[in-house]
Amino acid sequence: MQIKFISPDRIGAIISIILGCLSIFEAIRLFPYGNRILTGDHTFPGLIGVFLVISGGFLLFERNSKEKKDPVLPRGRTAFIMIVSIGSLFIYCLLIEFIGYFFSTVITFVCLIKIIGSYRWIFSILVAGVLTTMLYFLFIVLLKTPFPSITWPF
Amino acid sequence: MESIMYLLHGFSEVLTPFNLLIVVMGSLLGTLVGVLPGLGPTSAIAILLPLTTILEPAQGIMMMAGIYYGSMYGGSTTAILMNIPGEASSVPTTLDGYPLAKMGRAGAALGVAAIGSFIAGIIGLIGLVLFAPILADQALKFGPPEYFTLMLIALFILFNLTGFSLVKSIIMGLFGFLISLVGIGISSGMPRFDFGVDAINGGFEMISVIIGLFAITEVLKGLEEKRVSINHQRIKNAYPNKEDMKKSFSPILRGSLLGFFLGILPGVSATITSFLSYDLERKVSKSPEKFGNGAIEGVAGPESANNATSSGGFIPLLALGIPASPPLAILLAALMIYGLTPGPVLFEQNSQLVWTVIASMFIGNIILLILNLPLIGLWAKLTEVPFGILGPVILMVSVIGAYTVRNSMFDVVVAITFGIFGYLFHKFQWPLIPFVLCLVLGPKMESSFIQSLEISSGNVLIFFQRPISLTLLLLAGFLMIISIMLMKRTKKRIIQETGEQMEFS
Repeated sequence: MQIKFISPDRIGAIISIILGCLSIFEAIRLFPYGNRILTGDHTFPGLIGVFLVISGGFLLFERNSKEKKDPVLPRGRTAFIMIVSIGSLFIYCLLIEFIGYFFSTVITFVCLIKIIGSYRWIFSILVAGVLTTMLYFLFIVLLKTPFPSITWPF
Repeated sequence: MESIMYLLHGFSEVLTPFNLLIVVMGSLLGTLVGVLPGLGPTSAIAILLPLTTILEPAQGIMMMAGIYYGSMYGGSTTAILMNIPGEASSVPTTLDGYPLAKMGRAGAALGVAAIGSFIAGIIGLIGLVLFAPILADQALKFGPPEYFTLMLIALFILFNLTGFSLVKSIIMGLFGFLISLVGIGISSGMPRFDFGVDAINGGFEMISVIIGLFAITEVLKGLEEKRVSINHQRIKNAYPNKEDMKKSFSPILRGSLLGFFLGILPGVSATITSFLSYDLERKVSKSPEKFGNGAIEGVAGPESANNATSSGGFIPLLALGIPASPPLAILLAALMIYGLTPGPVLFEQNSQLVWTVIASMFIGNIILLILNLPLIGLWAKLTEVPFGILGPVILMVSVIGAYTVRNSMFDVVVAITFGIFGYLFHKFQWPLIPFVLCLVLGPKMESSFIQSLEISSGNVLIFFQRPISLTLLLLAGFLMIISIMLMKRTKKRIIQETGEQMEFS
């Protein structure tokens, strides 16, 4: 996963320039709604855009020290665990809308405990059940957060 | 004198059963999260922030302050027992704390750290009571141009102090600004940066971004490092003996004063003062060769300096609305959630609340000392919680916590996305401090800037023409030189002691 042609700092510089251009574009769009050139909702997006492009340019052409080693992203099982953990959280956001707080939280907890801790299924399910119940009491009973819930057809 | 009266009134407000319970809970929760390896005060506040949102403003902020102090204390536990500094400011504590633990004197080290933190906290709070109202009174003379100059200066000095490249710090700060601008514009009421997506119209919820950057990122870092529970050195006795206290008394006092007075200056972080204190103790010691091999003075000084700087940071936060460190930036965000505007107006309009919170900090410090010394064994046990359980708990609490702020699933997606960003920022050494500070201060800076230019009919020289603004700029130049020198020194010391670059805290 090591990028050989372009250093991570240079990728950051390019992203910074792109974001800067986007910000300048937004400032131009908002300009007609402002009073003067420096007073209005366009002022800060414009200034930030210009500074982002300049700073990005500086970083892009900055000479990289030869001694500096670029960090390497994790690979193999570690990368797999990280991706699945984050993926489970995104799936949780969808799942909770359909099956409500309790079941979606238990399922996600089981998945996370199994993948991060590599525990046995039975242990993962038991711990997930206990933790989901604890969070239920904390956030729903005590803090009264209105989470989506299933409407049973019966 | 007036301040003392207000403070006494604040004490009478805090000393009710419910408020006391809030302070105790905050201190305990903060310590609980702070002792978990790898989690520092910033992550602790980010994880626990949603829990405080159902409380009244005064109680919510009291709890947050308790969490802050508690997590600071918890950080020293992992530094001493496991040689894991939660943040760069705890590195000096590990230098002698861990050797002491290996010698079977972990209890003494933890006890001295707790007592040192307590004394430093109290000295810092006395300074807060004495200086904050005076500063707030002076700051009442500030108009939008002075505020803008002040915030700009604070940001610029802090950018330089992250321990990483200045250009990268500036880009991160600008990125933070950009995120803070998303949503409805303050002058025209037009949506900005929404690109036709309705969900972004309301802007990004600051807390979700913070939860992502500090809590979710922390788990990803833990997964990469393959964190497991770590067996720590056993604790025999949690109380330091008379000899330890005699040796620690002067370092605690020196560390507290050094930490507090340097900590008031913008740009002098807890990392700088704790290293300075460690080096000072080694210099004044009659047996400097003991340092690094288990000198109790090497724990007492830096721990006190660390805590005194953190307490000192409340002065610019409450009096001027300027956070000196990431945890304080998150506290500033919390104050804003409660509809409060930190700064001189806060002392004018919400003086009762401010003094109640300050009084709660005194009580919180006492509670931490009373509860934590006997509970040291229990906190140490907590560090054994396996990451296989801890990681999923942090992830789920973060996700549910992000949802509770606005009951919106969009905020959860934002938190997860910023969790990924936070990990990449950490991995490729893009500092988070400028990002968070600009995210929090962005809206305030924008309104000050636009108001200033409206006053001057668009003339940007207004920032140089007004005497206070000009004085602030000159002062900034001077402070900048000092902070650059101190930063370079601390950077060198961190590399000397740990062999790697670390983001300052």
